[in-house]
Amino acid sequence: MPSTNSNQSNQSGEVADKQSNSKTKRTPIERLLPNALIVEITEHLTDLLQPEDDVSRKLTQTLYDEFKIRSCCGVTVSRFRNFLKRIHKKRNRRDSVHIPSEIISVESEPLDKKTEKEPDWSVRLADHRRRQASIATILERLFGPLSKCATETWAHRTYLLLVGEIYYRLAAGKSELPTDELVAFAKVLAEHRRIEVQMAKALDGTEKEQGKISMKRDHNRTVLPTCFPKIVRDIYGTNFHPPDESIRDNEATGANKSTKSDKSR
Amino acid sequence: MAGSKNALEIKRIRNEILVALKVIYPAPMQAERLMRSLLTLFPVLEFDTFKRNLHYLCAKGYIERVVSGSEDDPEFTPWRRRCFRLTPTGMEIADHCIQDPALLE
Repeated sequence: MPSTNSNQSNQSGEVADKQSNSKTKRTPIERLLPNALIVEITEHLTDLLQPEDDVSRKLTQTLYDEFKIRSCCGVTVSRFRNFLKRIHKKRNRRDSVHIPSEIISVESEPLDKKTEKEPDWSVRLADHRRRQASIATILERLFGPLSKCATETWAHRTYLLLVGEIYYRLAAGKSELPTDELVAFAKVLAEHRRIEVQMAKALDGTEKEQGKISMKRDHNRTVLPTCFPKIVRDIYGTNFHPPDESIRDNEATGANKSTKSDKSR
Repeated sequence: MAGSKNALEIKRIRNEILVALKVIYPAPMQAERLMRSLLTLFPVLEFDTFKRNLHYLCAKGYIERVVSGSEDDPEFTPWRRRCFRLTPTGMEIADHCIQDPALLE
């Protein structure tokens, strides 16, 4: 029964490891590899050496490449060859299972500094990209689709400072705003925007059915959000004088509505 | 080896400048704010190095300076307070629609 044999070999491997551990200390690489993997690799090498008469250099190199891939750690070829010769001499499954730790206790190949740092750079870059995507969603929600913004406002000092300040605060404020929270917030805003667009479409459709003259929603109209003067007042403490008349129209509309409501009381 | 590592770092910085400006395109951003946003990726980035890269990207035509109406004399505006935004060519580079061998990592 393969499973029984493997269990027995695992148990004997564990017992053997305990005995070997008492004699030799486990290296850091050894501590990373599980005992079952060590036993499996040793058994595999023993099976491969069975029909061979001698441990040649060619065989050593072939097995070295395979073993290096399977074990995922660096081993010098000379030490590996000595180990193979020992296995080859005994050709006894139980003895070969007993071996394990020396093959892995040798010095590992020094890691290339570039490859050591590359995963760190990739992780940081991926996190930075996630954050940037969320910031883009949030800015689009605040200022409307940037491609449809009024070009005459771009040179306005307040707009420049606001956009840059928001981007900087969101991009650099990792300690205050974790990336995951920012991503979740951006998704909520995007969903909110989608619902608003759907409701607007439904409202237009409903008014048309009732025969009412509906205000044509001009999506190409480039206007600042109505809350923009309030944002400027909160941040800078001054009043915003829009160069465009669209905001004045909106404010006047709001003022007319308030006067009407006052009159109706 | 050190030379290739420096070249890679330089390319990364330039690419990240383009990507950051692409996020807010077509809006511009102040140089100081742009640099501070890149410090998360490049903690030891210095302003002189950053300014040189901005010069380079301006000369290449990938970014352009935006002069605000409040600047009395644009020539005397400190570099940290100057605003830059992507040009259409810079947008194509940032979107990988066209390639520049000098910026390929």
